[in-house]
Amino acid sequence: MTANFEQLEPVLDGDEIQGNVLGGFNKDHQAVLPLHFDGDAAAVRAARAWLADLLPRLTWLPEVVAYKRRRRQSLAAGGVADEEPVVWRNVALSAPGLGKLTPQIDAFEGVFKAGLAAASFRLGDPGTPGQPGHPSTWVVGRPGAVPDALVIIAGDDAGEVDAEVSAFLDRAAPFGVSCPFHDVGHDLSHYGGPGAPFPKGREHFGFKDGVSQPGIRGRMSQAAGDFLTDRIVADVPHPSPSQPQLSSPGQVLVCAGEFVLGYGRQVAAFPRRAGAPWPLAPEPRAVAPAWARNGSFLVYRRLRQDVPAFNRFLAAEAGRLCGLPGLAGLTAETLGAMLIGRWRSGAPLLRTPAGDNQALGANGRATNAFGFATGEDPGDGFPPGQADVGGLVCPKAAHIRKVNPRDLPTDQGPPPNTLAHRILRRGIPFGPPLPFGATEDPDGQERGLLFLGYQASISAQFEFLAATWMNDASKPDPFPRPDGVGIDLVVGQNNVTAGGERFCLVGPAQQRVTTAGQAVSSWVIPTGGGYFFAPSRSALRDVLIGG
Amino acid sequence: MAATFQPPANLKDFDRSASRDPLYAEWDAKIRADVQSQIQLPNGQVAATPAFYDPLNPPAAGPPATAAPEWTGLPRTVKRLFPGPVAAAAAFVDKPVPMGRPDPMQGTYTPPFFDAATGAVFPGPMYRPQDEYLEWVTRTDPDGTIREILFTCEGPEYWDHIAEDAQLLVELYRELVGDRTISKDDLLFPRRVRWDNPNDGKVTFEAGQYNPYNRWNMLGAVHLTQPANTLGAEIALAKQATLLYGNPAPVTADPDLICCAEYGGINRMSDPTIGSGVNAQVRLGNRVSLRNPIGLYVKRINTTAFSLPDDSPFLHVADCFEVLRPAPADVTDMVVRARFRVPPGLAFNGAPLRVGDLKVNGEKVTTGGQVADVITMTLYAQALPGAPPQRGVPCFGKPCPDRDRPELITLVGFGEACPGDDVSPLAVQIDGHAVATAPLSHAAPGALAAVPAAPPRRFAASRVRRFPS
Repeated sequence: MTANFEQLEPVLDGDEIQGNVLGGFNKDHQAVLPLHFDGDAAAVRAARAWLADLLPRLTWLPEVVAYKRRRRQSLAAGGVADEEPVVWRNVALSAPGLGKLTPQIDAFEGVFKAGLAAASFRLGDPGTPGQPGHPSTWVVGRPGAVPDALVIIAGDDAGEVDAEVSAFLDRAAPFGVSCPFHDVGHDLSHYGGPGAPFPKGREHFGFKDGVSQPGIRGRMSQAAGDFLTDRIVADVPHPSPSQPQLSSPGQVLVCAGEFVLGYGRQVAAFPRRAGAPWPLAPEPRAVAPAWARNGSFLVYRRLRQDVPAFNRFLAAEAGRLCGLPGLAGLTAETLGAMLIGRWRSGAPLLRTPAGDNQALGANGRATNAFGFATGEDPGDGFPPGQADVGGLVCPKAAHIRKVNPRDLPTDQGPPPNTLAHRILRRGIPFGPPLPFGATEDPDGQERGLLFLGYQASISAQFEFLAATWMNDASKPDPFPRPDGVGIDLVVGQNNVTAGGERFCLVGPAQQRVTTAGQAVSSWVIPTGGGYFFAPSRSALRDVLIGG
Repeated sequence: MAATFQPPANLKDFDRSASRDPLYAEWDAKIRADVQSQIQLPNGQVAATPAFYDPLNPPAAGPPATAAPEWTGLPRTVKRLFPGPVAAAAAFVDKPVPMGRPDPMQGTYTPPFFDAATGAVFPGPMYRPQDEYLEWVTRTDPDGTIREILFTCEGPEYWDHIAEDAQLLVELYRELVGDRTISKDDLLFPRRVRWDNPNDGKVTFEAGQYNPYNRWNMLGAVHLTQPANTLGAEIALAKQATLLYGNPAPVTADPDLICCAEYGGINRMSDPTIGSGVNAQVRLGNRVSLRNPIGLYVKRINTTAFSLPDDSPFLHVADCFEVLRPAPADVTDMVVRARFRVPPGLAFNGAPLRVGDLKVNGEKVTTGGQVADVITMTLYAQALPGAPPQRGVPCFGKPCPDRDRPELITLVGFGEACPGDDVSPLAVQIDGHAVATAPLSHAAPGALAAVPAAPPRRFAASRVRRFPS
């Protein structure tokens, strides 16, 4: 066993790492509870007591991994996932919340301590107070009302989750822990109403979500082959150390230290090498205190989705562009697929450019088996992908290309550098869906996404992806046209250009799709959130509860 | 009138000289020679035809497509080598380094200058260890708060050419640095000196020749000084990237491509970006050139990254970013000198606001490098169809992780194994500790260059492969 293997694939302190971070609850029903407690001595004592009461009820990585392995084995054996429904809980604390419990927070990076509202403008949110999306309008995490903690309760049964939320809040109240507002997200397939039946795993615009997650390196134990992430793809030695290692087709393995503090991180040019972890105090340039080991930063972003506006935009722009060279017959559905980079089913545009392919979209491995720079045939029976460096099929500003350029070089350098900017997405939609393509919302109900993302550095990962890649018209393309290639037209924001116009170049002639002329320029509107830290078991026990 | 190569950004400095016409003509001749020189391949390599073309004599009619590679002003490597707050990382490259002292990123030594007559070390020459074609000088108030940051991306060759008219040179220095006491003697070598330029080999500067590494340049960021930050490097890189590499198997992706071709600094952000972009155009069948006037340019600053001390958005970034060269009437998409300074009249809590009061990406501005981190750099390349048929040039090298600092790429011969198949324990410690205590941390700007006792390792950032002529 080489030293590099031990660093690259460390045995993770599973009992110390909260289950949602590396395991992913991925339940159909998830409640997100922003919690508040006071800062006076008595309130802090009570908050510590509440955490002590909560600690034994939290869910840790081994439980999630074991559950998922049993489930996979059952399915592989031709059975059904007959596990008893479970309810899982995790907790994270904001900088103000941590600051009430311990004086040892100085070493946290400034971005975390300042919080999401302070980052809002550089994330592209509107800069005018009162304007939808501005922090002053948020329902969670407005300046002066930042939650101290965020609890996630996830389960397989909506009723059980609702019951657990009620019980949880009743149990927290005597400790002085309040929850003025919370959301319960559900997979949209569970809703009735006009949008039903909505396929499983979709977000409100109709697209499959969470398709591409990084493969996480590391082992659950010293036992041979006990990797956290299953290794579906045999690792073939390559003469160049710059080549990535895959866990499954299209899924590149990423060092655990990019998501959890205390483990080795990616080395910029060499995906098979582990570098130093993010420094913890008392090391120079520490990003967190020593007790933050085995913890992870959690970004919560509550995003309202204006589905009719998005669909009206697609219909209008498809109608305007459908007669232009290379875009004959363009439909709203196809334009939507271009802007995402995938069809609604999740099938990647580069593997099925002419239209959606439900079978491909339903195949979790095939949907991820493609690159932008190469068109190799993964041999899974579905059409191969195609190289599209120029963005003529999958636009350079397509959402999936903006946030994960895969095998393309970027303004940050060769492709391996991208691995240091991946995040673990754990979000879930909220609110009832509308039918595909709906341009009206008769009930006016709020709907959107409870975005939840774990990472080891908020500035290098979430903020970098949002501010530097999604919202910059030239990036991440390292060789853009002088006037850029576009801003992510689905999730991106623009508070620089007058009117907030966003655009994206599409098709063989790189025609400009633009929000100019639309009644609204954004269909994803921030309505709250916060920056949190999910501590380890010992940090909770010894530092935050123990004081 | 026949087209000629113009000064970067169409600067009008030569107009002020009594030797105006010769200066323009000789600048044109210099760039013309650089552009038209044929790439000579080292012995043993197959002949290949680069798809580079002379922008003054395009091989095909019609307007070329323009593509503009982009990269960030703060060296990427410093952030990887020194993970944590950007301010702390940027501090490693914020001050000039005397020639002969270790480079903070490379850990190797840039050779000192020597008196040609005595062989003694010639003290004084310095450079800024900012190797992404953007360099800066940070100016502070007496309380240590940053007042302004000067940025430049002017190539040293242009200033070497200005020095043909010493009076013009002095005038421009006085204007740009803001000091009327600057004299010719401050800017020219007083005697014959020799230097083993890490990129150009052994060079000799005669007495009275322009000293690009003079102290006023260090104080005023007049032009680029990092030894690899040159216009010649830009042209050579673009030319060499118009060959196809790898034989028999093509090599098209970095970091393998730049190591195969060895056409630039393998640990930089700019060179692989420029090279791979040019190379991709050639693989698409296009010829590539650089737009006249050839130069390296500041493209933009991120206006949403800044905030006030209370974390509220700072909405006057564009007002702070003042283009100094070219003159306001001449500004197009080519900026070569700028100043970042809060304009008078802006206050916070009743006190005048200064750069050092601001935050950038959530961190208080304590270094110029933090602002360089939100500046996008570019150059302008052009593509025309009709690349000549090519076969791949055999690879020179391949990338390996440096044994002690795996964040750095080290080059080994193509086909050779990387040294060691595991990482030394030092590798995981050095990012946090060892580098922070390297001798450089004691180096002060202006300090006499110290010659290392042990034979110095050669500068590792050799950017451009020097082919025998």
